[in-house]
Amino acid sequence: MPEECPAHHAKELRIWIGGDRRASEEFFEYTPWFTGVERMSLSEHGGFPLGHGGDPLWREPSSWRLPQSITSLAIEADVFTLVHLRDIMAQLPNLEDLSLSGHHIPVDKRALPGIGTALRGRFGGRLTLRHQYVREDVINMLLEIPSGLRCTEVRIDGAIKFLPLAVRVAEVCLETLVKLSYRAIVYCKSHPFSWSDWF
Amino acid sequence: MLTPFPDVGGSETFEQSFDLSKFPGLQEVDFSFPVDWRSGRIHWVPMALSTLRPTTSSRLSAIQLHFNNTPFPGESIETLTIHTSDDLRRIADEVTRIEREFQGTVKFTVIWDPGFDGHRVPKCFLRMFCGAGHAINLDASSVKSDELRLGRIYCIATLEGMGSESYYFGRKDRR
Repeated sequence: MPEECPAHHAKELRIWIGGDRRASEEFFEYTPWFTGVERMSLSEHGGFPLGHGGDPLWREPSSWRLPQSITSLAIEADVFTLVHLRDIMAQLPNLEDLSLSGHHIPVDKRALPGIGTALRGRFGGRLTLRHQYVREDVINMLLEIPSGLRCTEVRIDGAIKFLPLAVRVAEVCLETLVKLSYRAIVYCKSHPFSWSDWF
Repeated sequence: MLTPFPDVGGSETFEQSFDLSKFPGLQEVDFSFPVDWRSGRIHWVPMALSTLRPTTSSRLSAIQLHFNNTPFPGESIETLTIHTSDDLRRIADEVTRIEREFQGTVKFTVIWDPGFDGHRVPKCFLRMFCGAGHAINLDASSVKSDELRLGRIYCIATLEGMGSESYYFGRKDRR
């Protein structure tokens, strides 16, 4: 890192991985410079519809080098598989707050038992799961975290049919929970709308 | 004419809900749910509220209930709430019980979001949450008034935009 580089002053990294994904992912070569960063957000949506599951990543998150100082991670994207998520979170030993949001999360067809055992972090803050992240495989992974979940705030916005999953997550944090938010969503089949017809 | 989209994955009813008595440090509860035309879908709300007791939730200070109105095009809002009236009644009963048992230490905020198709707060909803015997004028202009007092619950804000209006109701301040 150049001596005059101010990166160590940064407290927050907001990374948009849409558009030219190669450029945004190359940025991860430099993320270790941000030694004091506490919050990181990875977002993909730019107001335009991407394909279901988004475009594939150019570089696997396992090759990213994330600052160990991060305590808060927010992902709002449709591109990460469960394995990607594991590879990101496994690099963050001080994670307190986690927010996952996405509408068309790619489903990993493989059975991934024990995937959560690689996760690190303290998980003593806020846990937010929204839309398709309220799903059995995601929640099973979180429940496998060796240090356990000790969240003070749980917010879940998901399909009403996954209410039992929301109950499970909340009950894991029963000793520490201070605020519980649950938003039940009823999804309808998508409208047969197409952008090409619109234009 | 608009055709209602067939609904997927939402008609389940649950015997399971949050058992809020299990969380000794719980201070805030925030539930948001669609007021649906089929009974049973919001059954989990009164079930969860029924588990709140002063002995097990001594730190509880705030509850927010957010009703999202999502009628199909052309569906009457009154018809919609009549179909869910048992669940709405049970929720209202639990609100009354919690207010009584917690002796006013829990701040309630009840929000009715009419969505894009409903532009009024349904009469039966107001009756349930404002107590019997109050004359309620459902004329939209009066509901918009921030000064409108509706007994226990009153209008605290009105948001307008994108052709939709949201009426926010909250508990009257204690002085």
